[in-house]
Amino acid sequence: MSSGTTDPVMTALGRVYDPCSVACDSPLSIVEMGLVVDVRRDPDGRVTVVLCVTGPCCTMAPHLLRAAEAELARIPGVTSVRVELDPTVLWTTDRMKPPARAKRRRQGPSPVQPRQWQRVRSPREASSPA
Amino acid sequence: MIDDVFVINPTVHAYNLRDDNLRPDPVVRTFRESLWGLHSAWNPPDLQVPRDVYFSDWPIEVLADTLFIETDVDLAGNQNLRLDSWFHDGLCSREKNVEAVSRWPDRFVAYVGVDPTAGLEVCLRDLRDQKEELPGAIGLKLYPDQIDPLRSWRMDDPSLAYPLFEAAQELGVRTVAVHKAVPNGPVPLGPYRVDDVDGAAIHFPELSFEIVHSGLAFVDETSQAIARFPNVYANLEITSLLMHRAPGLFEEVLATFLFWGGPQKIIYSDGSLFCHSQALLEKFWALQLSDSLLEKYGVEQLSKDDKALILGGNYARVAAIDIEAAQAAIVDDGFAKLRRQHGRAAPYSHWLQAASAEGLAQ
Repeated sequence: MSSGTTDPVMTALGRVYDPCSVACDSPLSIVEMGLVVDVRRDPDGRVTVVLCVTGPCCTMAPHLLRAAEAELARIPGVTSVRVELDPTVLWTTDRMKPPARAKRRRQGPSPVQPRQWQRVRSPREASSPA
Repeated sequence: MIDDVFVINPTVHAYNLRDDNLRPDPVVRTFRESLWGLHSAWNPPDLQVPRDVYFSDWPIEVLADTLFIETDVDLAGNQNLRLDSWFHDGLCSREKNVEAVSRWPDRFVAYVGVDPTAGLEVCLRDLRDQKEELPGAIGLKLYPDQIDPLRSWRMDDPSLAYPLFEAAQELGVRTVAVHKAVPNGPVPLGPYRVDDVDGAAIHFPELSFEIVHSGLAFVDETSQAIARFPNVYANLEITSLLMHRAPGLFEEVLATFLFWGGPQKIIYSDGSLFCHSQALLEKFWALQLSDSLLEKYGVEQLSKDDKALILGGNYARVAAIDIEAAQAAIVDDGFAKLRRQHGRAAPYSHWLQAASAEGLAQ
């Protein structure tokens, strides 16, 4: 999923997905989710990214940090990567990028996806024609 | 058949609404009046029978003649209804269920019925007895509550529902149809909610669960269930009568289910005899959703294939019915021959004739 930018740092972060949105079958990147608070880069190739999480008890924070570090390390010319978490940032849906908000609106208020049963076939369904 | 589509109506009933079949609780008479209101207010005037005919014991033979001579229904599901605290015989008796399948095995599939509020041991015994009597029964019909005293049960109760479903599955039941959405008179609404379907669907992936009367209430919850679980279906019994009473509402409900579950998750039924299937089948076959609805819900127009699924293909899959074989079995049966000789009989003509012979409808 594209981050909608040619900036290699934002493109790399656009490959890091919010695990909860993936679990709801509605994958959104941390860029789309508005979890990227700050990005700093210096001429020596050192990149620092500051993230927030959607709630203070988010257990996925370590995953997000590691995933972001891995993607940023792949960028040619990057010599070191530091990804931090800012716990003081209060995330709301206002931080989501407009296309992501529009996508969630189209899907309705529920994390349930239309016809999501088609991805999970019961043993009986799997053995008979649809 | 309608066009070349095999039609299955899996929820049909021959009620017994005689005075002497009513339990004494005042709720029961109110409920019977609501059943009369369903017939008299939701059907057009030319598709009704007189009140004294309605408040009689409907013969199973009348149900069969009505369905298979007067309408394009090919196969139907008869059910042993266990509204035991409302009616002495439960509303549609076990005996009628046996008669339907015994006399016309190529025309009816059977649902056995138990009352979970009677307790697990009673239910299991009852279930086994009925399955022994009707070994080919593929369905289990359940009601969510009883009255006098008010009591209910949940489909996700691991101590009651799960052992019942497990036993049903072992005995060859393929589908569990639960009355939801429409309270049976002035009774608590809670048991008619659909939030307990999830647990049953999750724990019994090889059983199918029909949310009966889908769309008359709890549309969002029903939508979420048919969206998520491969084995949950929206059964449109009574809901289909909205095609007479409030066609715009029917289309909204249908579009909602099409969006969330798809045509594969919708099962047409109507609940005949309190309605006449033919007019409803014709309306459904001709149904085209409006452009505004298609746009609002982001769904495609109903295709012939979609309608074929809803009218019988989905149920055939659920009940493991080979449509070609079922069709071959009835092509020359008594009903088919009468249809070929005399054409489709007038609506309710068989019921009115039978009632007249009983001294009713004078």
